[in-house]
Amino acid sequence: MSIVNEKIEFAGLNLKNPVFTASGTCGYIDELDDYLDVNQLGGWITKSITLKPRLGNPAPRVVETNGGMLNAIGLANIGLEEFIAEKLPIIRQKNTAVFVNLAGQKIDEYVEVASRLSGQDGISGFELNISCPNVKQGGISFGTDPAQIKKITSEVKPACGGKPLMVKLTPSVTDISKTAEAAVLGGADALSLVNTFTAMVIDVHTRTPVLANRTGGLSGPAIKPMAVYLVSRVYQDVAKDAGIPIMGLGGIRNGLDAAEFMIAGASTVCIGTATFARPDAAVKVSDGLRRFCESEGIKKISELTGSLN
Amino acid sequence: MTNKNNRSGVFEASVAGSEHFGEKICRLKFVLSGEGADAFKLASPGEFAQFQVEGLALPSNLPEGLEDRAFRQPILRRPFSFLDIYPYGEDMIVEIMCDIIGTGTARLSGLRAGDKVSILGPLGRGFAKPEKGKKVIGIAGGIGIPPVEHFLRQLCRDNPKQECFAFAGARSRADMPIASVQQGKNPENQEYSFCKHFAAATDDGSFGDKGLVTEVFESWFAGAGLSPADCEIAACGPEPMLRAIAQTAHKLGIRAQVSLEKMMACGIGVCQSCIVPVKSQLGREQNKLCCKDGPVFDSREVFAE
Repeated sequence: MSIVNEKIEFAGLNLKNPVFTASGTCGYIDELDDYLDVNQLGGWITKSITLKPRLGNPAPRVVETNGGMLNAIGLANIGLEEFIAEKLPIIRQKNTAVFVNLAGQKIDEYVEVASRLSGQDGISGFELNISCPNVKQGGISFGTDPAQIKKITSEVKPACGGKPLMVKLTPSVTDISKTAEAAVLGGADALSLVNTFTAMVIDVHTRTPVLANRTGGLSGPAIKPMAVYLVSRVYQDVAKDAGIPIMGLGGIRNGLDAAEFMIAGASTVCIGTATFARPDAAVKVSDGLRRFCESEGIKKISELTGSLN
Repeated sequence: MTNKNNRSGVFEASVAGSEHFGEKICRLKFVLSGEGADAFKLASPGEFAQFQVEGLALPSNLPEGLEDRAFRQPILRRPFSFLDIYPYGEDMIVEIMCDIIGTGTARLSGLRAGDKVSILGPLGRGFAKPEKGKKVIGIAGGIGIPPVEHFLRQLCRDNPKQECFAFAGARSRADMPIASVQQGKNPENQEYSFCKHFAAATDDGSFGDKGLVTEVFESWFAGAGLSPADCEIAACGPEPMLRAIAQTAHKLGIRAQVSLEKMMACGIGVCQSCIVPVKSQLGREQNKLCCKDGPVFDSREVFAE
């Protein structure tokens, strides 16, 4: 039995620990059942759910980079109805927090998806995806304009049925504090940052982009120092005073990475790309974070948040 | 394709041996014990595993021309179909052939006996066993040769009466991942002795006929006196080759299964990167996943008639 108290209060939810799996990297969780006991995590976040099913972008959709990878999946998902009928019954059997990641082409679509899910059992909260770099409409087109962020957050929030709404921010902006502030003003209960960095890989032989979408989102350890900086920035500039918790993500692969994000200001952390290389990566991160606290004599894991000297 | 009900997981394997053929090809043999052995006992030809390459050192003698490509830090695993899987006492041996083309395969090629590697698998759906009495024609290109060879060999191990024919193609002799070819021996007397017929083709004519393996197969079939209804094709290789095989198979009326290769990150169906566009029976477009629904598909499903 660990002497570390790992419990976290996050946006009104009581979580077992601060570690989540990130949207788009854990499917609808049943795909990971053979490899990971999701009940050991603080929670997990579904793939983006849109009103209608989406095929996503053409292949190739991923390419590895130095210490990272680019993806341009394009919000491929089974759509709201199949999600409710096929996946929610499985999700309800899990004993951990689940955020549904919301996506859409128009604000109305986000609102409709949220309102039809808010009354469903088994959903703990929502994550607003306004930062996907791989779709032309919706996604990042909302997430770079503070006025749009405030508007979409304030319109989706009432559709959440009192469940927490977390807004996922893109790093591909000049000043992330401004977009974070807009989300808070719009009524966000939490912020998650960062989504992937817009990037490109070129095949030098054919002189064409490798991804069919031409650009993709860069993730993995290559982005971690930038993501830590942005979490620290938003914590200091916006979240700390507003009392809004941050979920930190970007290249986390072990307990020390997670601790770094928490010290920068994150209350919870999310594991994304690492799951592709090791399906139980999130549990390993959780174990590592606990070991770090034990070795440092930290009795309550939440004490790490914002403890940067 | 085969119904998959085997457990897969992340297992540590020991390298039992490595064999290099020229600069481009190596054959790696891994030993799995305990739960890993139990899982891989249920693996079948055409399935695959994801090998962790992160953390492995680059070999000091990189193949020529690979230096610029090799010095990158990989984070994703690399998928390989099997050349063979067989028991070794309580343990299981898993063999793969590796075409050394980038930073991941270069790192794998540096493994030596006793090294440890993390393996995620077995994954995907492999080749379906033929209907009773059907003859199986394996047609494969380049690094697609090992899984087809594995399938044919396994069929003949399970059923000594099984009739198999094999066709292998590559750019040149140096690119052909068949141990006996690399050693200058006749594969018909070595790896493919279980087959009733073996033929090869290379682009430059350095081994077998000069030309495409599909052409070698077609001219053989025209004179073989076999009824298409009595045959099935199992194929793996570059997509244009598989498309050509599918078209020939559709024309002749032979059932064909093809093993596809797509860029994939996870191998278990969460990243959604390795899509295979197909049309449903109602004509609706949908995406299947190479890692979960494949990599082996019925040719009619993925290549239009």
